[in-house]
Amino acid sequence: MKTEQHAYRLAPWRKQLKSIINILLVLVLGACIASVYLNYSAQMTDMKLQIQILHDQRNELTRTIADYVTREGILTSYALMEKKATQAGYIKIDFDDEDIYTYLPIPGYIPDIDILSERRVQLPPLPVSPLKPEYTESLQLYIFRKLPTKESEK
Amino acid sequence: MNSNIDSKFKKLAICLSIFAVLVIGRILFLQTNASAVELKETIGKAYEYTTLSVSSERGNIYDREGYLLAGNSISYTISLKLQASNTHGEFIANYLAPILGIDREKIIQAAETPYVENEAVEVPLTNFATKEQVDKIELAKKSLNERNTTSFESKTRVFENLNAVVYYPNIYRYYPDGDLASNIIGFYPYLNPASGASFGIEQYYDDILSGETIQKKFSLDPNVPESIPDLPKGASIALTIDRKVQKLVEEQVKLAVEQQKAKSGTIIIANPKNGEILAMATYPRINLNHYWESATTFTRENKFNPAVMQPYEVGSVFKVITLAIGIDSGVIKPETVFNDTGTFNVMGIDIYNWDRGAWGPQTMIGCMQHSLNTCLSWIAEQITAPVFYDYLRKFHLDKPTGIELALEDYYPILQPGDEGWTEISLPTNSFGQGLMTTPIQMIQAVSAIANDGIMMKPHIVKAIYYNDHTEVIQPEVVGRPISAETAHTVTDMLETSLEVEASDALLDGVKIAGKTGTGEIAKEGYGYVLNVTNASFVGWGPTDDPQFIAYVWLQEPLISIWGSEVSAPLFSDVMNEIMPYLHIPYDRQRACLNSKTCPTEVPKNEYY
Repeated sequence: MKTEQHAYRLAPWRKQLKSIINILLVLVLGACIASVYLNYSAQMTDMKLQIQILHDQRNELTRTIADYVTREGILTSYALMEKKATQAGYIKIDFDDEDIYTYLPIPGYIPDIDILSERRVQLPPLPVSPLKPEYTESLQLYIFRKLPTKESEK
Repeated sequence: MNSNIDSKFKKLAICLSIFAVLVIGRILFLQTNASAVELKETIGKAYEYTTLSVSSERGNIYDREGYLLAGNSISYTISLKLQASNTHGEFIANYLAPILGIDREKIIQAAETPYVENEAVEVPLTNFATKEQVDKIELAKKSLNERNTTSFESKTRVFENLNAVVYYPNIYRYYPDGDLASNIIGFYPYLNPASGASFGIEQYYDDILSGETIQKKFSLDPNVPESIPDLPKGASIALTIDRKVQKLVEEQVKLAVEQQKAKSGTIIIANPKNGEILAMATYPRINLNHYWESATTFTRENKFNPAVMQPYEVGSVFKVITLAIGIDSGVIKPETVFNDTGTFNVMGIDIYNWDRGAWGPQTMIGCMQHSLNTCLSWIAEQITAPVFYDYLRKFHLDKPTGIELALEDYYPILQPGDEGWTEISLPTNSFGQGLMTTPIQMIQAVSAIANDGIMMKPHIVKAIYYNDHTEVIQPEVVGRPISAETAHTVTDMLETSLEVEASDALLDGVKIAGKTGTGEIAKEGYGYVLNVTNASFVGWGPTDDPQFIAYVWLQEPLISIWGSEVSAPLFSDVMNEIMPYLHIPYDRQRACLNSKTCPTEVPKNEYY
């Protein structure tokens, strides 16, 4: 059998060049992958940092909100409110004084009947409200009524 | 020549390949080998990560009107990094002392604490700096750093800045009203959170108030970004108490304890129709922001919240229960007559009245009016022991009420057959001696009498606000120990009894029913001690439609030992003051609302 021989073969420098190119291709490919990886990991780190910053801001806000709610609680605490009321000139109601402490009946209102109670006094429809005129007339009428008239001046 | 180079390349390639295979093999070995993995983890745990417990924000506690009773506040721990502070303590102190209000010398001493690696690294100056103080420090730091970078001085005096000053935010529990309702709320020890919440709502609902706690691994590498996971806030709780009413009752109980030189005082106000606790005041109390005072204020005989934690022999207020049992079981009627000879003999032991007197023939109203032990002993004998104790079980006096407060206590009731129960137990139990109940148990039991025989479970939580829903606590019927008719009869009898007696408990504008009690106290090793008592009163009203039930207890008053002289007037004082805030109209006002008595034409300037 005849062995077939090529007329040409690649020159050694070409083979070396080919090898170098192959290696370079691999390196370039590796560098591309590495750069993509680095790029993405850098972006990811940046994102994580942003998230961390936002988390920190959120935590700070949560703490601040909690603190403000408590500060509001302090400002509306019983002792402080009582002090403010006293400073504003409010005085305690004398509950025994029937002129001061009174209930204002609302016409037509019937309180809820507690189904558990069998003894509750059944309230009949309420009488027409004997409200003070101040509660039923306009400010204009009220002032007009209160203004001294010629007859009263006489 | 070329083939020689080729062969060398081939050999190099083979060597590199073998090396690569070895490296990969080694990597795989390190990744999979158990001891190598363990070693890596150990090193990682020690040097790369730290595990910290992360908790969500604790839920708030509000009163029924929405006023904050327990919240969270922010504070900052200000520390000095010793490595940076050692050389210029005086400089740091000059800045920090006026901002933090801390003694200058103290700051210098802290700043110049010798730095020792891994041992003395940082010294805290305060745990409770405010945001404003931190802002001032930040401003000072910033201006100093700017000056340092621009001036020549910075090159020679590089240490003169505040970079050694660091701060960390803390969230701590704060109670805006201090001691208001402290016995109900309990406390969360912010200086030592690991010890957990103590007493009251804080302890009972610790799980849901504290929300979620997780263990998170944080990288020690500053280049690895870490964030605290988003944990939902703990649930918030609204109580049934009204802050205003609670405060007024607390003032009264404090005054009474001080005036009567009592060991402690307790008052509970509840709505018998739904079991809501409207006020539960005790004295002594502590400011919850100084929770550590609880260790010195409360003792075994004087507990944090006696209303639920301290069973005692209630004395004659228990006669209300015996009377109800007697009437409900049909052995007595209001007009039944008992002839009091001054003693009632059981197995050779004489039982006497409180005054050791003989009151002659008495109706049942008379028995209650004069609080005759002999009469109640007789009633108990008529009821018989099995029936009597069966009723006590129906009144749930043998178990805790289940109110949402931590450490609720109860005392088991001895019954026939139990060790320690004797024939004398039945008559003594009938007037509240030889058995112990807590005030909250009495409120629950007597609420059945005030609520047509229907016994409601006492509750102090109105609603729980979770992150995604709200749970409104519904009234719960826990039993019907007596009939409605019995409840009305007992109420009418006790109303009459108080009126005939002209009790100090009577209210000006509202008809009430109630009973005083003076319970003797057994001291360990001495038995019942003379002139040492528990003075109590239980009352409810308005009698035609009860809207409130109140229980008053003064422990060991010294000025007067009698419930009728101590607790009854205290009940009256308290109720007179708080009735308008409970929105319960006086009889005159209700009469006005009734068309039969309300004038159809109101004279000018008269308003009802």
